[in-house]
Amino acid sequence: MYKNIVLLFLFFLISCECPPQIDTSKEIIPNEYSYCIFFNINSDYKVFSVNSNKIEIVNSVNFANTSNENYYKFPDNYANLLLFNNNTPIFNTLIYTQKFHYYTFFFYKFEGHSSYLFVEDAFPDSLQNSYIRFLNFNSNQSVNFEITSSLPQPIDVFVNMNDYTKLIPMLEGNIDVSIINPESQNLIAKYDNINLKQNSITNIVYMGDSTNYNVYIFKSNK
Amino acid sequence: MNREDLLFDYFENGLDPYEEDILFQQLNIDESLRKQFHQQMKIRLLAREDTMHIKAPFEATQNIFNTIGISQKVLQTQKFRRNFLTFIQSKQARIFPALILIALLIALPTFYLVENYAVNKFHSSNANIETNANSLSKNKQNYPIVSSSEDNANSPENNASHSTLNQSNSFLAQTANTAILLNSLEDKLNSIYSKKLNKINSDYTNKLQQLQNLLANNQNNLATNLDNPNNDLLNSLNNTSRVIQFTTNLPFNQRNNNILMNNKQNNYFNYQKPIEMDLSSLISDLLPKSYLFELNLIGINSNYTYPNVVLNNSFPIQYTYNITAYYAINENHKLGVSYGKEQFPQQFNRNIDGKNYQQIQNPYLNYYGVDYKYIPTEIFSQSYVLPYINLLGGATSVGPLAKLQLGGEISIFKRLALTAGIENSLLFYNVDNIIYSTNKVNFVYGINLKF
Repeated sequence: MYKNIVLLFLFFLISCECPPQIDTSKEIIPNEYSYCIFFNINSDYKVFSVNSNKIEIVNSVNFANTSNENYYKFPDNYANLLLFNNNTPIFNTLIYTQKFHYYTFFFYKFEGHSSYLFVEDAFPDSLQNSYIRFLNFNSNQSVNFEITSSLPQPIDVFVNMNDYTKLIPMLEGNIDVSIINPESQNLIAKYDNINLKQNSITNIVYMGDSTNYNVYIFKSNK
Repeated sequence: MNREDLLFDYFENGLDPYEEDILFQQLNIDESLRKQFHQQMKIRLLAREDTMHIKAPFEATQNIFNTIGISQKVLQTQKFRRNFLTFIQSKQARIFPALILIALLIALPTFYLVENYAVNKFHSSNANIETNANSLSKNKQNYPIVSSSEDNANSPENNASHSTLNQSNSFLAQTANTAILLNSLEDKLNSIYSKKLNKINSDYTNKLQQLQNLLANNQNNLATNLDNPNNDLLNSLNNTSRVIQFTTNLPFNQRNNNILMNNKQNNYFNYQKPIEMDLSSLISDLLPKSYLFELNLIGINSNYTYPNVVLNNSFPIQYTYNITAYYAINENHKLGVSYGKEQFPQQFNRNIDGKNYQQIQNPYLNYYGVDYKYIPTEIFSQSYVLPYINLLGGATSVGPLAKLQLGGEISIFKRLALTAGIENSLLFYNVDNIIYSTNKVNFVYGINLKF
């Protein structure tokens, strides 16, 4: 009898499942990390997941999804960044991040190839400004971004093909943005009442080619 | 040694043959001694009969055994079992079937004879009580008077036999005198006994009247408090149930106390019947009196967890519960087996490709284990809430689990109870050779079924 009880408790002590492998919702956070946000503007992939060193950082990044505005914790220092689409690796690179710094990752299509832009979102928190960044991933032309705000004069920002601007500090509030062809001065597109929040970044991405264009507005909050 | 001493010793200690001869000679000669002898004999017989019927009240016996911490039921069962085993092993057991057969053959006709006699006797004594004791003695004068007493000397119908017997002074005359004495004694004893019976009768009637008044008051209180129930209503209900319990526990046997029954006591039984017909009594009558097994169904609600895990992506919510089947060793101690499902938040470190990560998760884990339950029934025997302590030692798929539960059982029926309590659970698990633990404080609630 006592022998059976001892055997029973020994059986209890032998675990048959390893906690990290349990099929449940889980979050794996690096002990030392930076902050990254990921945007998918590659029309070839409707969704991808972001992994680093076999750890899933983001489960799904949808194409042109503008709803997510939060940064994810990403292993600092040199780390592998791997994108998966339906468990198939579609992109792999090595990136360097600094501990507690903020970064934005754009995955886009340029001249028929998948490309990425990994930039640091460096701005001082103490200024209490909002920031705007213009990106031109159009393979055909450069553009002018004209910002109309409460200021007396509009601001013109010229952006080359496959290029982007630094973070431009702006006052909190609504702005209008016009995209203009710098050569013909024709208005390509206009977006009114874009709200700028304090300590947030607004990314305005112009994409397309000679026949088509698209504009995406992504926001990220620190 | 004088005559009284001889008589006393004869009944108490017995006499040697010589002293016995002296006593019988004196009895033969002296009528007063003979009368005294018969009185003594009758008194002793009646005393023995009376004491044979006296039993200690059930509540008193039970209280005594409860006070000294012994279960009367257990003692009786053990004693019966021991005697039974001893008897089975003895030589007497071999002839036991034959003895039973003979006893049955003798007992059956004897029973019918005694029953007929008892019924006749009961009717006659009942009639006597209804008139009174004095009328009994007058009726007894119809018996033939064979003594030499002056009271009966003028009886014309007995003159012949009187004179004959008085002259003969034979053994028959003595026997006849003894019969007269016995009859007169019986009359007196009947009158005393009937007085006693009337007194007992009146005592029971008074008690019954008090109980009925108490119940009527409580029913009135219930009726008045129905619209706005409060603590008084609860107390009223409690008192009523106690009254009902008391009345049902009265050591009252209708067959043995038929002589005590008058109209009022018949009302008492009529009044008691509807109480016995309530649902809980019916269910308790249907169920066996003792139980060996117990089933606990419990829902678990986590109030405090360490680590406290909040996940951005939530998993589908599932029920958390525990099912335990107990075997009752006795009233206090129970052993059981458990199965349950519960959420155990986990937080642990991992090293992957030289980088350190912290993993947090909140999985639903199945667990099973062995339970021990202790209920201090000695302390809380009169309480409606029975507190309990439950210890569980078990396992999940990731590691061992221990639980301590403190709670209470509130009986709905005798075998069905509601349970509620607080439990503290501790889960241990191993990741990369480091032992982690999850500590939870849960509120538990459910039902308990005994069968």
